[in-house]
Parts: sequence; structure tokens; C-alpha cells
Amino acid sequence: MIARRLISWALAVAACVALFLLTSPAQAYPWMIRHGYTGCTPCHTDPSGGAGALTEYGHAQSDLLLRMRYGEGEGDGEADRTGEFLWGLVKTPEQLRLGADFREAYFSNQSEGAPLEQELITMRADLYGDLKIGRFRAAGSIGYVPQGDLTASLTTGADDNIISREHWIGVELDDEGSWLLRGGRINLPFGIRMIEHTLWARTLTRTDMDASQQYGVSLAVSKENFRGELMAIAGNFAIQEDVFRERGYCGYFEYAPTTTLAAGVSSMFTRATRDIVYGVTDYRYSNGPFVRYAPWQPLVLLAEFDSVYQSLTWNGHRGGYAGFAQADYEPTQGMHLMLTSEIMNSGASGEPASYDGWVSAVWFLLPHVDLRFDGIYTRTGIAATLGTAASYSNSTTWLAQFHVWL
Amino acid sequence: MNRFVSIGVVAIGLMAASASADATLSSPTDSKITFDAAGPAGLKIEGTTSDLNVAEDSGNVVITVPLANLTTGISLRDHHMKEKYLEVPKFPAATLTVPRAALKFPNPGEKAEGDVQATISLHGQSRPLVVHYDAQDAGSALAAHGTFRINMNDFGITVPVYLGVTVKPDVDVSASFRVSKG
Repeated sequence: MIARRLISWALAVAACVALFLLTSPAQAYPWMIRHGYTGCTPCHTDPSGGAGALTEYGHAQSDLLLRMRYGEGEGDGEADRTGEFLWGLVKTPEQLRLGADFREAYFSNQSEGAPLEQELITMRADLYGDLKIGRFRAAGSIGYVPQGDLTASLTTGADDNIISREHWIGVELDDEGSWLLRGGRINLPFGIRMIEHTLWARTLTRTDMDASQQYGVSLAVSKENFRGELMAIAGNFAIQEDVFRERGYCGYFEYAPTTTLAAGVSSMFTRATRDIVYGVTDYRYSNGPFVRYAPWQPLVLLAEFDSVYQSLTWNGHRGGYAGFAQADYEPTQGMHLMLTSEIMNSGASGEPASYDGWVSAVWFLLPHVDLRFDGIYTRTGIAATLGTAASYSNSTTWLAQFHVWL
Repeated sequence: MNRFVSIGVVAIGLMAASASADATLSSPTDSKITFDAAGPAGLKIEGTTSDLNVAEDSGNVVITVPLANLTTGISLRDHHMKEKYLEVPKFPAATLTVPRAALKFPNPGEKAEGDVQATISLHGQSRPLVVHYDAQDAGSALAAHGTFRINMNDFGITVPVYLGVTVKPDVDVSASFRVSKG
């Protein structure tokens, strides 16, 4: 009984720590496929989307297609000036794309047998920039985090750090910018880039957009019917000791046979002399398919499933998996109702599968402003240990988020 | 906002025919006309309409596609496409004219396929082009499908540019429909 109670406490603490460690990506809305946008450019300066500043075109789309129109038809006028960077108050040169992102959340978690946890969390407070001169590109972000994100930190405090999630230079290899070769700290190109950064598919594969970026060189391509990116990973140099740095490759390829359907595969392999979690030499392999489909403009279905295999030297092997399916329903422009379901097994011996379900609503109520509410029920599988059988722990999480971006 | 545009369309298709080459083609159903335009770095624009008429005139099969209901799925882009680029109020339809004698007609239950020289009228200008088509005999009807490529510059259509995003001038058009063999 005591063991169970300890496990519950541990899970509750882990949930809180995870939310502190993993803040939120800026704008990763793969459901924009409902408008025929299978690729991420030309709205995002990052060829694989989700990260960094928006282009001028992307700002216009956020006004035309993202925010609630309050009875005004989507085609009734041009994009409002308030949709531009800083609500149109500042006009930047064409070559310079700037952005900012602030997200604050109220977090409540109730795990079985544990006290109620309630927190206010600054999930993101970042500035972005992207400079394009001819074919040459330079991009980066800088931000402040009260807690966590140490693997993206430029300063060395335990708390209150200045971070840079990404910074890279690159060159477009063709006139239209379909091919981008870049080097620096880059978001790992793997799977679907989701705003729901705590999805197990992101955490188990270590490919979230909060602090899991790595240094390396990547080649990205965006064409009418396909896109992809392949990155050679040189390690995360924000981690001071080289033995903890992972090296290998990461990439995805996605094919879009129509403007409302895209399916892809991801693959990653890394080796670390000492894994940052397990402390031993670790070879990690992650592979899996993903799909995005809009059978009807108000409805988008997203799904991903990844296998994760880890060879831990002298400590055996772990073969796990993580996947999710999400339905995003937009009954009227600017209001999204979502159902998300996940499954995960980290691969520990005797660990039963974990499940969860999300009920979410996002309201893009004003230019550059949205509110989000999530209710998450989680049934976490707990591996058997000496003297205890495999078991489950249940928890309920509520999140309310206020988000402003520029 | 626009977003670019696109163009048009027209349809095509064609083809015609019938088990008996003398049959009059009429009453198109199940029509779908699609154009695919592209922008930089993977941007793809697809426009569709189901409006299509087929008539015969002086030995030609004339396929007319009204453009008023052409849509790309984004209202403002449609508005720009029709008002600024295709100028639909001035040029409300695109037509494809094909000499009937140049078409291959399928035998009963079979399929015919080929390339045919046709004339397309779009945006007030006419240009010759080659249409690849196929036609499947389906009893009392004929299922036809055709494809071709046009260049906006050939028709005096301004190449759409929106907030630094320029649409490529080449546009692929396809059309499919069923016609009664009257």
C-alpha cells in the first residue's frame, strides 16, 4: 500500500515536472491541411513548420483562416493589418521576419492517492527572428524560462534562465526556396509537429520542440506533392559534458497525393556514450508512420505511431512504442474542438501499456490571441517491481492557457 | 487576399463519343473540372467546379465551363482569382472546342484513348493546344476524361502574386464527366 502511494506521488510529481520542463511550441497547427496546406512553407520560415517566425504570408493566413471572424465572411476583405507582426504597428524590412510568443497556463493535476497540484506556468516567452538576404538565411530565438528547458539554456542557473531553442544559418539551394541546407541548433525533423508537446510520441522519441533541439546539419525539401528533412545530429552543445550528447541522424518524408491528405514516415538513430536518462551507453532507434487527412473541411484527422527501441549497454534492451490519434473539428472559423487519444509503452520489462484521452477546445478569439482548455484523463501503466505486480495509476489534468503571439 | 489564383480552367475533356459516332452528346453528369497550380516551396493550389456543358456545333464538340463557381477552398483567394486574374465578370466561361471527327470513339464496352488538337478560349483569348483524353463506353453513356496544360501568360492572365508568394504560370487542368449518347 505504501509502495502504491509512493508510486502515485511519484507520478504526480513527474506530471508537474514534465510540464515545467516541457513548455509549449509556438504555432504548430498541422490541421491547416483543411485549407489545402499540406506543407509548412510559405507560412513558416522553418521548412518543417511549427518553429520560428511566420512569413508575411503566414501572418495574413493567421488573420484570414485562423481567427474567429464574428459573422464577417472569410472572403469579405483583405487580411487585416492587425494580423501583421506586432498588430501592424511596426513594419519590418522584407528580408527580416520577426515574431514573439507568450503562453501562460493554469495547471491542475489530481493523481490517485496524491495531493491536488495546482500551478501557474509560464510555458513560453520567446522572441524569434529570421533574416533572408538573397539565398542566405539566418534564424534564431531567444527567450526566458522561470524553470526547466535546461537543455536549451544559454545561462547556467538552476532557474530563471535565458534560452535559445534554435539558431542556425543556411542557404536556399534553388530560386524558389524549395531546398534549404542549414546548420546549427535545429528542431529535430520527426513526426507531426503538434502544439500538444507533451504527447508521448514526442516525449518518448525525444523530438519535442521545447528543448530537444540538437546541433547538426540538415537538408530540407518542400515540393507540391512531398516534403522531407534529413538531419545529421552532432549533439546538443547546451549539454556541457560530451559523453551525454547524442549523435546520429533524424528525418522524415511525407507524400501528399491530394491537397487534403498527407502520409509520411520518420526515422531516427542516435548513440550517446552516457544516456542523459539512463546513464549508460545507449543506442536509440525510433521509426514510425504518420498521417494527416481532412475528409471534410471542418474535420481533420491526425495520427502517428512510433516504435522506440533502446539498447542500453550492460542493461538490456527496451522495446517500446507511442502513438496518438486526434480529431480536430472546427464548427466555425476560430473555434476548434478536439479529441485526442494516446497509447504508450516505454519498453520497461513487465510494463503494461499506458493510455490517455484529451478533450480540448481552442478559441482564436482575436488577432494574435487564443485561449485553450484541456481535460486529460491518463491511465499510466507501472512496471512490476520486486514484490509488486504491474499496476495502473490514474490521473486527471486540467489546463487553461492564454496565448499571445506576434 | 488573395492568394493566388489560379486559373482556370476549363474543361475538357471531352471526348466523346459513343459507341456510335453519330450519337449526339448531351446532358453531362458527374462533372468535375480541376486545375492544379503551384507556388514556391511546395505550395499547391487546387481549384474545382462541377459546372460543365457539352454541345455540338458545326462538327465540333464544344465544352463550356462557367467559371463563376470555380473554388479553391479559400474565399478570398477565390475572390482574387475571379475578379483580379480571370476577370470572370468580363469573361464568364472557358470553352474547349474539339473537331468531332478527330476523336476516337470506343466500341461498346471498350475504352478509347488518344491526343487531339483542340482550341481553348479563356480570358478572351483563344489558343490551340493538345488534349490527352480517354473515353469509356458505359452503355447509354460515355465516361470521358481529359487533361492538358496551359500557361497563364498565353492568355493575358496576370501571374498572381500575394505577399511575396508568386504562383507559377503553368496550370494543369483535368476534367471528367459522363454524357448521354443521345
